[in-house]
Amino acid sequence: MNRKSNYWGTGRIGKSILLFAPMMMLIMLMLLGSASGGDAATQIARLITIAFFGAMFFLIIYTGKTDKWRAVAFIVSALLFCIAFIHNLILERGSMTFSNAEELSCTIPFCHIVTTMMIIPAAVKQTILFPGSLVEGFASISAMFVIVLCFSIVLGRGFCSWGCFYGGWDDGTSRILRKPVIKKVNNSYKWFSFAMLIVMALWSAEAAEPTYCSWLCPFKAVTENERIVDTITLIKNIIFTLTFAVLVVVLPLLTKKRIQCATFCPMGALLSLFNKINIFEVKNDTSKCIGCGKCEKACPMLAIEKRCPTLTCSKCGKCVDACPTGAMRFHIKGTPIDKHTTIARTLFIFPAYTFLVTLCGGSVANGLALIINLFI
Amino acid sequence: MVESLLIGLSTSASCVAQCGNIILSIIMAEKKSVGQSYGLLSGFMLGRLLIYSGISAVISLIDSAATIPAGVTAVSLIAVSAIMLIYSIGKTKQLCLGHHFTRKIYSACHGRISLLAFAAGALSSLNICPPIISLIASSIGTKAVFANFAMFFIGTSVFFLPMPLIGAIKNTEAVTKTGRAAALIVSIIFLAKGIGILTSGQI
Repeated sequence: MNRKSNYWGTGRIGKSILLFAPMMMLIMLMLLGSASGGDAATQIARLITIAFFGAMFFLIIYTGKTDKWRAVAFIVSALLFCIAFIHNLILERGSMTFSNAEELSCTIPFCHIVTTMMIIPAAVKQTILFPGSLVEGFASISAMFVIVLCFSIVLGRGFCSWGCFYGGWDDGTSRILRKPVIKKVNNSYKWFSFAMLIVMALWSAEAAEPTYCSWLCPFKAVTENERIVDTITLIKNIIFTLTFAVLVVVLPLLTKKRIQCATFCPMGALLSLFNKINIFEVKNDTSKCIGCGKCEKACPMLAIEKRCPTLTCSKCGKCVDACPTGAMRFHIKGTPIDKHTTIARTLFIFPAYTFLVTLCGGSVANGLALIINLFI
Repeated sequence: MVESLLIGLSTSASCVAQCGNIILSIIMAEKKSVGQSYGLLSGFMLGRLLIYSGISAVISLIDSAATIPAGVTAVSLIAVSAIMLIYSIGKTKQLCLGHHFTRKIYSACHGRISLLAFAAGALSSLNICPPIISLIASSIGTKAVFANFAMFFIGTSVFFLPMPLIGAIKNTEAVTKTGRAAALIVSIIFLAKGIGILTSGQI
């Protein structure tokens, strides 16, 4: 009997259902609680979404495979989020593109990455880039800031694998090939994202605009972008397309690593710092480790060095799944490494998965409703 | 003079945002102690001071706002970009295009990082940024141009002072690699800015 099959010991199915039930109630509460009415497609989409998120959670608990089922929920969430987002933009604004005037009048949506560019202007100039009068249907910037901050304090960089509605893109492309074409990626490249954080924070303060969003963000290619009216906007759009193609599609495909998240995203670097202060971590029980290196090979975030997860670990659980001896495990800081492993994993997965459903559940249901509407 | 100090203090966020990138990446990339990092910062500041003195001398002589043509700003930005690129690539073991060339230039500067910081400070000051424009506007027609620039320099330098403290961080490898990467990004940004000014003719 291998490690996974006796994960829960006797009565595994019963314990799994016991843990699944409260999460299912939470999912239903989140997706049905605020919903009122809607057409048949919307109702069907909501039910499918509830069933989907419920099933993924049950499988995470029942099989003991964290990353395998998390990734399915995460990737589907990212794809459907973009569909729902673009549809919402077209409904509200009539187009995926925005003008410079609309950007200046703050009537365009934003995402959590802009937080990294708010730090210095907010602290030094008492100015918030992208203030909050935004397109209807999107969260206010203060709400976004509080959500991200709370999540980061509780789960650290877990946000990048359990909450970020962009992360699913390169997580998805990094799983397409069975084996990597580029076999060795230097772990040091992860420090590039910290450099991005420093430079973008300072450059945004100088330029008084969220420079990463304006010039570099790969996900502009699949959400919204500035209307091409002159050479500058043309250059911006070329950069958006190139960064998306290279960092989100080609390199993750060839390396099986989440290159955009691991080496380019300034938000990821900021969240890594929160790994220092939250209680959950992925840790290697060195007494059980046989040094096979499978964890390092599996880690999509370039976070494992000398078989130990480092500051940039996003707690996706891929190394935990890959470890043949169970040495790599979720752990609560301050507790013995060889005890309470299941409790630590469960305590981490509950808030993490709740956050994924909270942030992406509505978008998944909306995106699904749009697809269903195409067929009925 | 007090007004110049206040201009410096109030606009220093902009100075730190623009020039802080440069010196911060150099300080981070060097495995130096806090004291040695202050040495690097001093070199950088000396470069800035030299250029400010030059600008104030020109203003005193011709008493005009048109002291720095756009072309000079563009070329100085491109020069800073080149310095940062050489610095970043020259310090990196594995690299692609221009590896030997940049390594040679970097080697030529080896042991004289302060000189590199000095050049970066001087060139980055040859830039018509909002703080400088504010200062020039308030200095024209006054008799104490040098003193105004000196006070402005002090005002804008305050926020640079904590930067060398980053040398106290223990994980030097992480800081060093981040610093080199930052130098590369700064190089690209300054190059883009310089080319932008050169092609449009506007700052």
